[in-house]
Amino acid sequence: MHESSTVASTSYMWVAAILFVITYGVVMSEKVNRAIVALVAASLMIILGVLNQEAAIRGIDFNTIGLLIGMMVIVAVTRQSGIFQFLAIWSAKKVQARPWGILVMISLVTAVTSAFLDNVTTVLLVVPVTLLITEELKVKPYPYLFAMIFSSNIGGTATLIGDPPNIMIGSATGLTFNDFAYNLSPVIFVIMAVTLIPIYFIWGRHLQATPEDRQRVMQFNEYEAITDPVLLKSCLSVIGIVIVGFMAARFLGLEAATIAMFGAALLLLLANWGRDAEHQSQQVTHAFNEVEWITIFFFIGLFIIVHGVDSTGLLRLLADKMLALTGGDLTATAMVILWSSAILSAVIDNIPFVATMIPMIKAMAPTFGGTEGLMPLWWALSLGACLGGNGTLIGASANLVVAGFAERAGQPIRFVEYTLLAFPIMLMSIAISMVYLYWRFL
Amino acid sequence: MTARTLMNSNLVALKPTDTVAAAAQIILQHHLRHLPVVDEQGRYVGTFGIYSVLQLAMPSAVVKHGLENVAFVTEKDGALAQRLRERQDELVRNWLSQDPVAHPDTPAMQVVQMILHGHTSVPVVDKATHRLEGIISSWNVLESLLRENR
Repeated sequence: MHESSTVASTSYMWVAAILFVITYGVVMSEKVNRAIVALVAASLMIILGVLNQEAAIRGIDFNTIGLLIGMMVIVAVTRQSGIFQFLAIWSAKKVQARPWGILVMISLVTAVTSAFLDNVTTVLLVVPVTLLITEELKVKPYPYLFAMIFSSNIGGTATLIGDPPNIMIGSATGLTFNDFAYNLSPVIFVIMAVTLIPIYFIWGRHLQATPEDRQRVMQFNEYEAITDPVLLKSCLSVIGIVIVGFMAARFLGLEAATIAMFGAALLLLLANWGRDAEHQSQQVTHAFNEVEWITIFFFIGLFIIVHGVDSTGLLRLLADKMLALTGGDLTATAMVILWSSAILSAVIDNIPFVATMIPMIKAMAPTFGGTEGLMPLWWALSLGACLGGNGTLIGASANLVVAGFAERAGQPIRFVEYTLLAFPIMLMSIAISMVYLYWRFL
Repeated sequence: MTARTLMNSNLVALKPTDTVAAAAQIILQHHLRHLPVVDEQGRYVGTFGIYSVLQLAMPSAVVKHGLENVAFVTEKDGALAQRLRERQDELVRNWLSQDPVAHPDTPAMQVVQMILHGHTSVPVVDKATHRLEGIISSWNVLESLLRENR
C-alpha cells in the first residue's frame, strides 16, 4: 500500500516536472502565445491527475490577480485624461528643453509613474510624446528610449505595486506596501542615479539642439494635453486614495486586491456619474477591454502549474539542493538568489521564474529560523527579478513595447546592440543591490 | 450588380516613382481623394491620396505613434508647410497605403460595405494578374443608384 502510493507520487512528480519544463520551453520559444501555453499546461495538470480542480483553484493567488486587474482598470481610465503627456511635456519644459535635461527628467517621470502604475502603460503613453519632442529637437531618440526601458524597470522595483514580481512576493508573504518602500526604495534611488552615468558618457554629453528647436518645445502648452480636467481630478483622487490605502493596509486589515478593486470601482463610478446607460456601458466595456487579459490568464495558468509542481514536493527538493549548495548560509543563499534571478530574468520571463521561486524560498523557512528569517531572500528575489529585466530586450514586456515604437520610428533597437550595453549596466545595478543587501540585511 | 459594372475604368493613376510634390499637384488638379499607384506592368501596388499628403505635413511621431490629442503643440505659422516642403521630393512608393481591394466579380453590396467601412475608394484588381482594372468611388456608386431609380 505504502509502496504503491510512493510510486504514484514519484510518477506525479515526473508528470508535473515534464509539464513544467515544457511550459517554460514553449513560453521561451514564443511560438505559442504565453496565455495559451499556461492554460493548456494548467488544464493538463488537472486532467493528468497531479491536482484536482479544487486544489488547482486554491493554487491561484487571487490577491495578485485582483490587484493586477484593479490597477489595470484604474490606468485604463486615467490614461484618457492626458496626464501622462502632461507630465512628459511639463518635465521637458522644466529643463528649458535641453536635450540631456529632458533625458533625465523623462527617466524620472517614467521611474516614478512605473513605481505606482503598470510599466507597460507608462512607456506606452510617455514614449510617443518623447518621440515628438526628440523629433522637434532633431536629436536621436535611441538614448531616450534606452533610458526609458531602464527607468521603467528600476522604478517598478521600488514598490509593492510597481512590478508583477513584487505583487506576487507581497501577496505570498504578506509584506506590505510600506515594507517594500522602506526596504527597497533607498537602493532604487542610488541605482537610478548611477544608471544615468554611463548613459551620460555614451550619449548624453553629445546631445545637442539648436536654440530655435528648443524654442519649439518650449512653446508646447502642457495644459492643452489634459483632455478632460474633471476626469483627471477623479483619477488623481482615486490614485491618491489607493496609495494611502496601500500604506495603511495593515492598519485597515485589508489586502491589496481589495484596495485596488475598490479604487477601480470607485473610479468607474465617478467617471460614469450622471451619464446615460449606453454611454456607461461603452465606458465600462472600454475600461475592461484595456485589462491585459493575456497577462491575467498567464498568471492564472502559472499559479496552477507551479502549485501542481509544488504539491508533488519537487520544489522542496530543489530548495534543499540549493541549501546544500550554499551550506545553509543566509548570505550565500541571498547572493545566489540575487544573481541567478537577475541573469535568468534577463533571458526568461520573470513572472514564471518568481512564481517558482516563491514556494522554494518558503520551503527554506525552517533552515533560517522561520518566516522572519527569509526577509533578505525576498528582497534579493525582488531586486534580482525586477532589475534583471533590463539585461536584454526580451527581459521585460515594457522593453518590447519600447522596441516596437523604436521600430516604427525607423530607429530599431537591435537585440545584440542593446544587450552589449544593457547587460553590463544591469550587472552594475545588481552589484549595487548586492552591497546594499549585505550592508542592510545580512 | 458587381464591381465591374460600378467601376470607373477611365483611370488617373500614379507611378511608384512619382514625387510627393507631383502627386499632390495631380490630387489637387483632379480633386481625387485616393489615387491608385500602379507599376510599369500595370499592377496595383497601393494607394496614395490626399491624406497621405496631409500626413507628411505632420511630425512622424504624431502620425505613427497614435498621439490623439496634439492641442499642446503651438507652432509658428508655416511650420506645417515647411515640414511638407522638406519631404516633397520623396517618392510616392515610400508612403503607400494598402487598403482592401475588390475584384471585378465582387458583389455590389460588398463594395459599398468596403467604401462605408474604410471611407475610401475601392480599387478593382484582377485576381490572377493583379492588374488594376478600375476604381470605385462613393460618387460612382451614388450615380449608378440614382440612374437605376430614374
